[in-house]
Amino acid sequence: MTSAASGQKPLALEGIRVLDFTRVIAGPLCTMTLGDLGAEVVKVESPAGGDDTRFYGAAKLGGETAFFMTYNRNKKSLVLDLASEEGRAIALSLAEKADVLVENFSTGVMERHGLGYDAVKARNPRIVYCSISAYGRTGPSAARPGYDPVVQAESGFMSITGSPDREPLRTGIPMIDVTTGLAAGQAVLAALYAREETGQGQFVEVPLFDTAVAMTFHFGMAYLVSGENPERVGNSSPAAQPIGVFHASDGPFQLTIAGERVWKKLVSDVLQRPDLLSHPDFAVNQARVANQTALREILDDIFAGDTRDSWVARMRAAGVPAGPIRTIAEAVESPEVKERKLTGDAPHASAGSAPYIRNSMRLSGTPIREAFGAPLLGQHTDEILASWLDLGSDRISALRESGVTAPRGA
Amino acid sequence: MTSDAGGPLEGVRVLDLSRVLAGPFCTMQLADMGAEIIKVENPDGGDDTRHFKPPEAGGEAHYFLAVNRSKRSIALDIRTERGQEIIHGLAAQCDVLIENFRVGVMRRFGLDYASMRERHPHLIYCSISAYGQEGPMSDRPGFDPVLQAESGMMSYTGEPDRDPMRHPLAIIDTFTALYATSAILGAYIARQRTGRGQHIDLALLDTSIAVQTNAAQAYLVSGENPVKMGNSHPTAVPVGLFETQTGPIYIAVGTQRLFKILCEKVLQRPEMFEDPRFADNAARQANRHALFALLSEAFAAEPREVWLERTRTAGLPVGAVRTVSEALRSPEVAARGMVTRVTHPTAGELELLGSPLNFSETPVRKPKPPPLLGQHTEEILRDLLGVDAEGIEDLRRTGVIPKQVEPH
Repeated sequence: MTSAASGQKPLALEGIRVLDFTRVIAGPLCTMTLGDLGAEVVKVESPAGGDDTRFYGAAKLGGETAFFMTYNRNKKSLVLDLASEEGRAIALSLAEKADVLVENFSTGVMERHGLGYDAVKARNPRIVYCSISAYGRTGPSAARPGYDPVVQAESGFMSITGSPDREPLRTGIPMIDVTTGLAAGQAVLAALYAREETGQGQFVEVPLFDTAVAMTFHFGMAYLVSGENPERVGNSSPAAQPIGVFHASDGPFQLTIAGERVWKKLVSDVLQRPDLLSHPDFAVNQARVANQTALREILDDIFAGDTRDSWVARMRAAGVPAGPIRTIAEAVESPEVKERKLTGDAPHASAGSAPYIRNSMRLSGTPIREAFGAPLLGQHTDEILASWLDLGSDRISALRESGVTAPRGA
Repeated sequence: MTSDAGGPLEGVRVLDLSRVLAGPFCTMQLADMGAEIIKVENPDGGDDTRHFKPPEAGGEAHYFLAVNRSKRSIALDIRTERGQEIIHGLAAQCDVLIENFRVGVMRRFGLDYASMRERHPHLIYCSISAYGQEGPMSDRPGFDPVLQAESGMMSYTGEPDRDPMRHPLAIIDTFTALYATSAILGAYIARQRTGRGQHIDLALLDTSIAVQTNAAQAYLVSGENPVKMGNSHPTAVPVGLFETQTGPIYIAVGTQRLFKILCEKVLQRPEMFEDPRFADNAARQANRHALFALLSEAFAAEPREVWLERTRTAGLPVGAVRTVSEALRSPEVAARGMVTRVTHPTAGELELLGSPLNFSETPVRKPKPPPLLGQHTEEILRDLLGVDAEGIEDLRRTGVIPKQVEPH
């Protein structure tokens, strides 16, 4: 796709070719980010069904799963049987034409296919080759497969999530897969930038485990400076009150009162209970922390007397940090999401058009590309073989018939 | 792998007017990758997170130390005209400017993108805000827990019988920082071709929606909301946390093949695999209670190390649910070099977390300690703007930079 297709402005990664051997979440999110920025992403999939997420979950549109659609917009799909010698040879030829290669197989798989970094580099020294691994490509854990919740557990990340009286909790979103995918995207971009300066590509690796450890941030840092483990605090805080989830007559909301100024606004402007300000049990934060059970009872009573929208509107007007705890449906249909135009519709081969969540990056000079929907399995096989490798139609047909390439239309 | 110099972004210079988490984490990544970061702080206390303590080391808060390694700090009052002129002077020598003030603040100082683009057309200017740079909500402040609530993310985090659960880390800030870094790098690559900078508008709200990926996409396609599952999985059974004799483990058994391995090789109870109640995933879903009871009893009978050893040998996805200390002192973290050491001017020997990015040719830089407030004020003014001793003294006298030099 050229800049003409997305309006007059150029795309940031126009002309960059990405050969994508990734599956499931972290890798596909990395390459989708590159696709959103304008790169041409060719997703290489196996003839036997392709990316696993083509079969994940019940939600489907046009016969395709929502799960797969999530991480694969702005990509082209090419089916290639890497178990065949000819398939591997074609993959290597494609790698020769690519600026970026991204893969998240188990350690050793790419080498077995003759597609390891050294083999690819020998043919294309300018390539940026990105491996998204579980525990690193070298070392004692290199062979272990990676799973987001397992890595959340082992990195200490899970130990800080959840209520103090319950077991540690996994996040609802696949936090480590997503952060690793984003980190890998930026590593590729930095390596592309460096290539302009040095003329050379390189090997880039971002492991799930390393990302998870990095994501413990100030909790990890607190341990490193104090030697003490952070405690789970649930929705609340040991340091300030009231903080947490409260229930209005028709739904929950989140309230964060982190200082005396905001506490005063809450009781005078929102609750209209100035008596709480002078009450010795609640007058200052320290007292509120000590008497949080009693305080919660009072607040629960008050909040039950009106609707969530009403409380949140009053809090917002008063400058008190609070927000409704929305379901996904409520969030996606909210005025904020509409105002920011965070959802869109993209043309899709079997669904006609498919809704999607926009990338959150907004660049004034090189905007995110107008999206096209996630590809059907092998939708662009012939097109890519012709445009990247200059193969003629006879050869393309022969590859199809011999099963080196496959699905879609054959 | 790290190196003393280099990094893929060697030679890139970033003027960093951001505070707290989203901006500072973004610029820390740029710093890890070799960019030179000039962190501009108000002389009156600097970045708010310098005061987020305890714990602390050498008077510096852990929170600040966590996201400000490898930066230099200049203390500068940008409310003054001379302070603003210094920002312009520095911007002329920088490639990237990043700020996360409330919308309107930079305009008031004459430092918003519209005011700067003419003098600095090369500048990549990244704004991070709560609800975007324009529109009716742009003046609303952003609080991470409020955005976790409003975005829908909390509604499916937590246990089914409990309140929705917030993550204690400011994760929306974190995700926004990752997107900001990518956007800046994308803009930089475009600048190599076009020669022009541009404005980047990143909103916490936008990111909070974008990162919900498959959950949000499933809603768009089906109209159905995801539900809270605690540590278990909507379809695969058994997935969850189990106590052993010596600490919890997390197991994720998503297929029939893995369930067979679990029963036969790990638990050494082949009869469980033959049990019709657990014959396939659907049966296991229906008899989840009975299965979890059996598993809880089995896992409680041996120490964690035994289970980890057996599951690893068998290739089953299982991990110890570690505390932060167990994780940071684990052999994996040691092998990956994810805890590094620096010598800090007031804290002395200081451990920091590492970067998860690994480059074969341009390794991430060896970390430098997070700066003291205004530690590099004088050298930045001298080296980048050619301000002489007399000029520095004058800036000091007029309060544009702090009167007292911070101890080095």
